Amino acid sequence: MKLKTSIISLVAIGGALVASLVMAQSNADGRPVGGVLNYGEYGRPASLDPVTSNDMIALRINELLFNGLVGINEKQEIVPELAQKWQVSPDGGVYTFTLRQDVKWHAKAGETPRPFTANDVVFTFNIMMHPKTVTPLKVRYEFIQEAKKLDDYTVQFILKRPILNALAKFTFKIIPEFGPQNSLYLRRDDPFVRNPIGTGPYRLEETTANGEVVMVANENYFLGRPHIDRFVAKPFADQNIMNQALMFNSIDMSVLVNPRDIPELQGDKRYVLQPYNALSYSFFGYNLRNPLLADKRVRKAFTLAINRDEMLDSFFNSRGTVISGPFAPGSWAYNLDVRPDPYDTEKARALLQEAGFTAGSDGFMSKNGMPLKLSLKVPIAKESEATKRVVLAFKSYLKKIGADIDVEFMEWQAWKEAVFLNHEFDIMFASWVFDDSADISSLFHSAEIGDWKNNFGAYSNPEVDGLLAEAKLSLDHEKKRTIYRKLHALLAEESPYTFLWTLTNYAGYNKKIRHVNIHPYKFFTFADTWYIPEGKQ
Amino acid sequence: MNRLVIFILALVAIAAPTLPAVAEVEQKAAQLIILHRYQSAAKILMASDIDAMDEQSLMFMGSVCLRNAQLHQEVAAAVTEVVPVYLRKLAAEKGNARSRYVDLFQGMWLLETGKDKAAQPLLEKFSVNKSIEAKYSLLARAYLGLAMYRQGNKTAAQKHWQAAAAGDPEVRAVLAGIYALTGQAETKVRATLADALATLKQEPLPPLALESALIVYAKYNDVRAALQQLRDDRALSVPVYSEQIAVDKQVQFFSGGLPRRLAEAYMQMAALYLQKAAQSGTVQGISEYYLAQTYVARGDLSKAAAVIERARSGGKLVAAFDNRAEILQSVLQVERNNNTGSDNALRGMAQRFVNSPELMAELVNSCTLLRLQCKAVIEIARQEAERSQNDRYRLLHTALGAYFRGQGDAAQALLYFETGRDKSMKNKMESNDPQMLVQMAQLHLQHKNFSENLEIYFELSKEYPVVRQIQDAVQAIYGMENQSAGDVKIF
Repeated sequence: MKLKTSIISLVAIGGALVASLVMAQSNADGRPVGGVLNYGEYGRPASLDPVTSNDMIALRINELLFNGLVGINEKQEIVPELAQKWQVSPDGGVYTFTLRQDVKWHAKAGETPRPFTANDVVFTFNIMMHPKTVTPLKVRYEFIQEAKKLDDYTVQFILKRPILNALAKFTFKIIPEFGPQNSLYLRRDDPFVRNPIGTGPYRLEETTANGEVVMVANENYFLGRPHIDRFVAKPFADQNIMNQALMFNSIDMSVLVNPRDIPELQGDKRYVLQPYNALSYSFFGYNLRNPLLADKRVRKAFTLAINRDEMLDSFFNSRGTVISGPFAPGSWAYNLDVRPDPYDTEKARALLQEAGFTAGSDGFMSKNGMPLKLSLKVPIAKESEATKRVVLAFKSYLKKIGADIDVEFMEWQAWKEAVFLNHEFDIMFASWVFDDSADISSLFHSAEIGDWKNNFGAYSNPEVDGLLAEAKLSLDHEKKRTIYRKLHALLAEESPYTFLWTLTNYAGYNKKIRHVNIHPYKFFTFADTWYIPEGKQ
Repeated sequence: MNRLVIFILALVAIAAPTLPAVAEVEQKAAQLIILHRYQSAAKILMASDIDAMDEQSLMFMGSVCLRNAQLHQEVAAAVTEVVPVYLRKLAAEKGNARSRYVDLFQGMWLLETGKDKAAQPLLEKFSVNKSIEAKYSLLARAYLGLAMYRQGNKTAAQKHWQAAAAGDPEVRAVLAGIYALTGQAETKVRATLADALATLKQEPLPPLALESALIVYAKYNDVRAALQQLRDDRALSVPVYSEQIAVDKQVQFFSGGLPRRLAEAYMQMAALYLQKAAQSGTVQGISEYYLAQTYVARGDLSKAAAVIERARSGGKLVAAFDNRAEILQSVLQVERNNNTGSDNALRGMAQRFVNSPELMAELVNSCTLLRLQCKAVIEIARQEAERSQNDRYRLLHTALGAYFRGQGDAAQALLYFETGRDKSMKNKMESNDPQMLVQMAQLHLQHKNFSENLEIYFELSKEYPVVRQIQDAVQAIYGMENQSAGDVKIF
C-alpha cells in the first residue's frame, strides 16, 4: 500500500532528533543528578503493569516504568517515544511505526539488557486484546484490526476504520514479550504484574514489605538518564496522615493534597502547591443486579434525596463543584444545559411510592416484602475523614426517605475485588479520573459488564450503547460533542450513578524539587527532567 | 452618613470585609460585592430610581457599574480570542455536514471587528442561500447593509435595509442597532427599536435584540432604558441560533458582540452615576476617583487626568483614596509624557509603598491599565512580592500577573496569578477576583490547558451568564484538539 508521510510526523521526527541529541547528554545539561523523591500515595496498587491495572496509583507508576510508541510533550503535542517516526496511509486506515533501535529493557545488576523490538509491540497489542486478559483497555483498542511486524524495527497497525485523533491512542505502554509467564493472556496472578519490566526512565527495584514501591534511575534510558536517583511511592491508608508526612518531611511530595490542608500548605514557604486539572468526579454507583436498584425511579429518588450542595459545603468547605452528569465540568463533553437535580425529599418519596414502595411502621420502605435495605461499600483509603462524613450523610439523607443503608468501609484492594470482581455490593462510593477524551464507553456500555470491567453496576441501555458506538464511529467533532451532550442528559436522567462533585486537585511538594511539571492526568510524564539541587539531596 | 461610613462603603466597593450600616438594599449589594458578584449587586441596585438616590448611593452604584464594566471588558476580550477560532474551524469543514449558518456568524463577527470588506462576501453568500430560513436571510441582509454602508456604498445598504425591514421583530431590532451605528436619524432609530420591541413582547429579549437595544441606548445615553433591559440577564447565555445539521449534530451560535455592548452599557452607567455623585457632597472626592478610573477604562485619558486632578485638589479625599488618586495621577502624567522618564517619576513612589502591598498593587495595576513599562516599579514590586504570599500580598501578586500578561509573558503571569489565587477555593469567584480568573483562564487556553479554562468559566457562569459563548467555543476547540488515548481510571 502506498503510504504518505504526514507533515506532522516529519515535524515531530525533527523535534525528536533534536530532543534525543539534547537528552542523550542530560547529565551535561547543568542540572544535578542524585537524590531521592519519596511521594505519598493513598494506597497500594494491585498490579504495577500497564495492562491489568485500572487505578491512578498504578498509572502514575507506569508512567515512570514504561513508554508508549508515542508520547505527549509539555505543549500537549504528540511526540515520538519508542517509535522514531510514523507514516499514515492516505485513507487513515494504516499506521506504520519505525522503532528506535537504541532502546533496552530494564535489567537487574549483572544482567545483560535485552533490546526492544517490533516483537514486543505486536506482543503487547495481542495480549492486551486477548479475551482472557484482565484489562480495561480492550474497549479502547477495538478499532484496531491487527498489529503486524514488518521487520525487527517496523510495525504496522491496520485499523478497522479510521478514527478521530488516532495517533494519540498509540500512547499505550509497551511490555516485553519475554515478560509475562503466560505469553497468550495476562491476568493478575501472573508474576509480571507485580514485577514488571519496562523501558522507562525508572526501573522497578522492589516492593517492600510495607508496600513501598522503589524505583531507581534507568542508566540506559534512551532519552538520557533521569536526574533524580530514586522515586519511592509510599502508601498511606489515610490522606490526612499523608499530608502530615509532607509537613514533617517524611515525604517530599503528595500527589493529591487533602482540600482542607490546602490553606496550611498555602501559607508555608517550604512547599509548592501546584494545581493539576485531572478531569475527575466523585459518585455513588449502583449495582443494577439488585432488582430494587434496577428501577431508575429508585436511583433517581436517591439522587433527589441527598443535598449535594450542603455536603460539599460542610465536608469540603465548598472546594469543588456539584455536577449533573458523567463528565467533569472541565471536560469538552459536559452538557452545560443539564443542571444538577435539586434537593427534594418530597419528590424522592413520591418516586419511591410510584415505584411500588410503601413505608412500614419503622419508617423504612419496602416493596413486595423486600425491605429497601442496601449495602454501601466504601474504600477507606481515599481521604478517609471526609469520605466517612460523606457516606454517613448519604446514609442519613436516605433514611429520611425510608432507605436503610448499611455502610462498610474496606481496604482498597478488598474493595476493588468486592466491586469489580465479585460485584458484592449494592452501592459503592468512588471517583473516576479521565484523560482529555471523556470516553465513558467503558463505564456505561453493556459490553463492559464483567470481571474487572469498569461497568461494575451492570448498567445496560440499548440507547446508551447505540450513542456510545455512534460517537466512537464518528469522524465529526461536532457530532461527537452533540452525542456526548445527549448522553450526559440521558445518564443524568437514568442515574446509574448519583453524580456528586468534582474537587480541587493540588499536588504539594517540597521546594527542593525543581523543574516540576505535572501532567494533568498521568502526573509523572515529565519526571525525568525533575531534579534536586546537590545541597538538598 | 459620616465620612467614616462613606469611606467604609467605598472600601466595600473594592472588596473590604467590613460592612457599613447602610440601607438594606445597599447592604445586600455590598455583601454581593464582597463575593465578587457584581452583576447581582448591580441588578438589585438597578431597582432604585436614579433621581431619588443620594450621593452615597449614586457613588456606590457607580462603583458597582465600573466593576461590571471592567469585568465585561475582560470577558469581551476573551470572546475575541476564542470565538473567531471556533468559527474558522467550523467554516473550514466541507461537505453536507458543514454548517450553513457559520457564514452568517462569521460575517457578523468580522463586522464586529471592523473587517467590513471580508464580511461582505460571506453575508452575500448566506443571504442568497435558498435553504436558509427567511428570517436569517433578512438578518444577513441587515448586516450586509452595514458592511456596504461602511464601505461607502450607501445606496446598496439602503436596499438591503429596506428588505430587512420586512423581517420579523428581532431582525427589525437589529436594524435599529445598525441604524444607530451608522448615524441615522435618532427618530428613525428610536422608532424602529420601539416598534420591534413592542411587537416582540418577549421576555427575556432575544440576544440580538438585547444587543441592539444596548447599542441604541448607548448611542443616546439612555441609561434608564439600558438598566431596564439588564435587570433580566437570562438572554445573556442564550444562543442566537441552534442549527440542527443532522440528527446527532447540533451547533450553537451566540452573539459575539454582546459582551462588548454589556461592558459599554455598564461603563456608561458608571460614568453617569459617578458624575452625579461627584457634583457635591461628602463623597465628591471618592466619586471623582472612581470617575477617573471609568474614563481610563474607556480610554479617555485626558478626562481622567482632569478629574483626578480635581479630586486631589479638592481636599475631599480620605487618606487611603488620596494615595490611590495620587498613583493614578502620577501614572497618567507619565503616560501623557509618552512614558519618558517613567522610571524616575514612579520609582520614588514605589519605594514609598514598600510595606504597603495594597498600594503597590494599585501602582502596578495603573501601569498595566495604561500599558506602561514601569520597569523600576515592577522591579521594586517584585521584590516586595517576594516577601510574602499571605492574604495581604495576594493583590500584589495578582497585579504582577496582570502586568506580565499585558507584557506578553504568559509564564510569569501564570506564576504570579497562581500565587495570588486562593488555592483552597481555586476557581471560586467568591474568593478570587473574577477579572483575574478570566485572565488566568485565557492564559491556560494559550497553553492548551483547556480544562483549567473550562473549570474557571463553569464557576463564573453562575454569576456571569454571558461567558456561556466562551464555554461553548472552548469546549468545541478542546474536543477537536485533545490528544488523548481515551483513558479512565478509578481514584
